[in-house]
Amino acid sequence: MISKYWSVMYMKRNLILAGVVVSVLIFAVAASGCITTGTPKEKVLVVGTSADFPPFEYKNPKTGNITGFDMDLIKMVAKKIGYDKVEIKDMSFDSLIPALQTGKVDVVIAGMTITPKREQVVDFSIPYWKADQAVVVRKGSGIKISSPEDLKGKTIGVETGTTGALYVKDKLGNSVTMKEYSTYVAALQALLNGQVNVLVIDSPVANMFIHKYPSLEIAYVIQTNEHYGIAVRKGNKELLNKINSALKEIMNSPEWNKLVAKYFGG
Amino acid sequence: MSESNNVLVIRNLTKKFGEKPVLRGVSFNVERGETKVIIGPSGAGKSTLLRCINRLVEPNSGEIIFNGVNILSGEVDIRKIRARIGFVFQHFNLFKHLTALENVKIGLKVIRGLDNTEAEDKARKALKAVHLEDDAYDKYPAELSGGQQQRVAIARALAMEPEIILFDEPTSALDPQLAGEVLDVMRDLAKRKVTMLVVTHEIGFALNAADEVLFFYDGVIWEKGRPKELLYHPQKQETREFLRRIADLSMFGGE
Amino acid sequence: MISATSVPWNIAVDMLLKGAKMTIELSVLSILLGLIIGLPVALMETYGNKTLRYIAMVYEGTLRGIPLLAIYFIIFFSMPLLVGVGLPAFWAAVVGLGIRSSAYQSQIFRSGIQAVGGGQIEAALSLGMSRMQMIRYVVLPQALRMAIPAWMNEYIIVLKDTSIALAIGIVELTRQATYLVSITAEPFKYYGIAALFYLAMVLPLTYLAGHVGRKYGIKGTGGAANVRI
Repeated sequence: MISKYWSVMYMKRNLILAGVVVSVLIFAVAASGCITTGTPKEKVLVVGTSADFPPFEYKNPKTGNITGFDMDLIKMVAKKIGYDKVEIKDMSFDSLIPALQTGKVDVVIAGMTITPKREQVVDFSIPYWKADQAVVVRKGSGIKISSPEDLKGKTIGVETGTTGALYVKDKLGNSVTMKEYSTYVAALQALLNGQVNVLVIDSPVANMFIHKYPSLEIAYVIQTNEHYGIAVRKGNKELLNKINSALKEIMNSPEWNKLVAKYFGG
Repeated sequence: MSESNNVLVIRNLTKKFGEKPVLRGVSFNVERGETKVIIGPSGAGKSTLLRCINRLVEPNSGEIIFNGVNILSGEVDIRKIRARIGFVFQHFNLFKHLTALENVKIGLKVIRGLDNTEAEDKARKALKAVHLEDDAYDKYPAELSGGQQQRVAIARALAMEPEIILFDEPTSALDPQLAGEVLDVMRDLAKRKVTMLVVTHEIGFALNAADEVLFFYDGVIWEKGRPKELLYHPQKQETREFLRRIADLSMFGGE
Repeated sequence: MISATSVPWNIAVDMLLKGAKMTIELSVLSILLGLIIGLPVALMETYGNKTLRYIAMVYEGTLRGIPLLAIYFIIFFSMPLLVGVGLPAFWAAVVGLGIRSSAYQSQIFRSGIQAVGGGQIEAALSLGMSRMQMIRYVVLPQALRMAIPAWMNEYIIVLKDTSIALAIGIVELTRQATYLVSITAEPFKYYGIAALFYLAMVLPLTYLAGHVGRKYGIKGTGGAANVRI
């Protein structure tokens, strides 16, 4: 009874196992061969980004495509330097530089601030965006910030690994209590429920959610003079020069203003 | 005693576990159709001795001649030998995922290569020989009593039509009532001249069914003889002491 | 001007369903890979000679000792540099999750195999079975069935751990939720719904595990162990 069942099942199991092994091998071999889409004649620029940073890059729920300021910009750049297509690869922010270093992507554009530490491992284009840090508070909390000094003594929420976090650590140090959150959304929640009384966060991001939360306001903008850059693999001078020429052209053209207006308002 | 009548000849078998010698030169024979019983103190090495015979344990030196062939030599296919030696364990060791009937059939199908019908046929015959109750054939070991399980184990060994069956304390794990039904089956087999080598504490069985009784002590066969002689008139001191300790012989109608 | 918005319900659900589909695909392929490798490793570890046993122990010990994220990164980023051939993200994730699971599955099967007990092995050998026959007819039929509850538990773990693949770009359920959250700034809503999706995938499995464990458990071996999520 059961033993007969098992010898038949054993044969079936063997076949299933063999089938699975074979299919997996076939898929792996086939898939490992093709990384880029498009016909062989097309030149494709593989772009790495982390689509959780609107308005620079985010997923458009309707179309399912990754869109945003950075995405439009890189497409314009790619066209100018002779690529037919752009392939967007989304991954977590921390994976972007490793992806660049190991050749998984050709460039990275992800609202990435040019920092000395990062410059040690990748090469950046000329800056294409200047960002500041916004200081966000709850309306009516009585907190008035008219200079960075006024932040002293406060409990400040920041997003881990961002330049905002770095600024607070370096410039304010022990004079404040700093709380780090893995995403801006988590930091936002902390502000809303009072765990922190101030947020220091990238101003584009702040501008974006301030409309949704009427109880919050931007009290001050810290001029941190951060610059976003497009990153390429260290030493890839050829691509870098092409990108820089393209950027210069675009930023001096009317297309630029159109792009800025599209995502940041006129 | 002609060689050709011996199913099993053991010569000077030795076995050490680490520094501890367990078998120190065991020698004896088992003739075809004989029922030979080994008695002796617990833990002395009787189980080891049986396990050497089908090489579940590898002895250190000596000879084990099974139907004329020394099975300790390198060229021997031990699996084929094992298929001709039956083994009944103290703890039954039935295959828990198979019914009683399937337990008996499995060896016939996998090792003898019989098809299902032939295997079923022989299996049923073997189960009948151990008087297994009809409703037990399709039950799993967990649903059977200890006595039933051991009888199935005997049938499993019998079905392979071995040239000798080894029994390692087959009733020690059973309470007296269940032990009785197993001993009955074994007595039956002895009557039918199945060649058996039995390690046991059941003196009654030795008296009724054995052709010869061996007293195993201190790593060797200390004394041997026909049942009534050895059990009622042991020659050696150690044999006497052992028998005194394990049984009151008057229970068995002694003098 | 793009500002924090709301996403229409049907679109959000659609995105999450796509993510769930990816989660399931990843988990099924990974658990199967884990099985294909894990069972032989378990056999090697139990029945192999010294060398095989050593290899098996090193294999499963290492993979159980490294965090899954590290495994993903090594396969996705380092492997191309060391070995010269790389895998696309999806297959890197399958391989990473699969080999980690194989390490845990090998322990599950090893337990099952050891639970079969030396006595039945002696009986099988005494009948004249070879090792392979013993494994095939006596050990595996019992070991596999006893392993079912623990194995289903492992599948549930694999299913949940697929979310870690978002680090290398796999758009599974949690990543889809993250997209929605970053657009709408409504974490409770979307992570909450994603959590419900996970539950919806896991709870039927838990029930199934109990059911199968009871139905196929070998009588007299203590029944199915409780499956803990």
